[in-house]
Amino acid sequence: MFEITDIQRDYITEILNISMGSAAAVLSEMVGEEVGLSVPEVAFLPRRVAADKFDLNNSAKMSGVTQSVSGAINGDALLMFPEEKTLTIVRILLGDTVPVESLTEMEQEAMCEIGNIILNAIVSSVANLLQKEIVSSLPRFISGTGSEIYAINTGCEDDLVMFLKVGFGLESQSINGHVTLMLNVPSLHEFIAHLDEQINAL
Amino acid sequence: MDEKTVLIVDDSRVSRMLIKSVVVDRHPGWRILESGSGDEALTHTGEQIDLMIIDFNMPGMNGMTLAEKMKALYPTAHISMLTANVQDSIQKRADSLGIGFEKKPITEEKIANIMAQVQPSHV
Repeated sequence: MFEITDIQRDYITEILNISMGSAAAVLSEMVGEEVGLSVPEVAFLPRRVAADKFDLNNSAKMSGVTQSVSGAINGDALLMFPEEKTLTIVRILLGDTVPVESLTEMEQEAMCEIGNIILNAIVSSVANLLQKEIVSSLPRFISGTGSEIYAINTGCEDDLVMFLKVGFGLESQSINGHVTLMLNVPSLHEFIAHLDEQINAL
Repeated sequence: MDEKTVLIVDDSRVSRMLIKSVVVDRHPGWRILESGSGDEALTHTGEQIDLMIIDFNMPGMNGMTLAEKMKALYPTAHISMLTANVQDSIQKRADSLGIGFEKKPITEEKIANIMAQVQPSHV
């Protein structure tokens, strides 16, 4: 079992707090209102257990965007919203740039770009804090229940992952979503070594 | 007013639409070229281009590689990277290359600031 010390967990949570703060700032810039954030969760879990945590509300359908990351950390980053809210989010983002009748057609592309901006804000912030470079793949639209999304995302159910999750909310639109990072444990030894370097420098 | 040609390079159609809407709104006479990739953008070389707004993460060639090629071909054009990839390392590379760097999300103010680099007295 992979274990981390309290101070390492505290530092990871703080990195996630700062990174989500950057993401919340860009989301707030896009939607023009304050974004509420939950306390980050950090856990080491098998992927199939982590998949259950994707679900926002039992087995409700969700839509979102995923990007693979590699470099200082390796794994997947996901941004998830309730499926019925995606069109609202797209409408807020695009405003009157796109005719209303074209919104549905643009929904997936727009969601990919929203995901690209938010997930890159997080990944860039993590990279800057670690003073390392992280490469992210192009964004991919995903939709389904947590289990379905999990099935799309991996074929390695029993692999242990470091699971980082932060929820966020837009009060005026009653939209709640979450961002998840699932980091592969083999890459974590290097990640933890980076953390120790930073902690020791404090 | 001098009419300029702007090349927008971004694999996201949504982003191109958002950028284009600001440019058209502010400068209806400006000519706009759009490309969804670096390779597609290179097919426009030979044409007059005054301003390039380039995304970083794209399929195939990334935006920095494209910017390096374009900088050599168009030394007097203004090039700005407009990207969600806001890592310090990417920004440093943009600075070293002598191009602008703007963080997504796209806003009217950010596009106006980029346009001001080629038309300071009219933006």
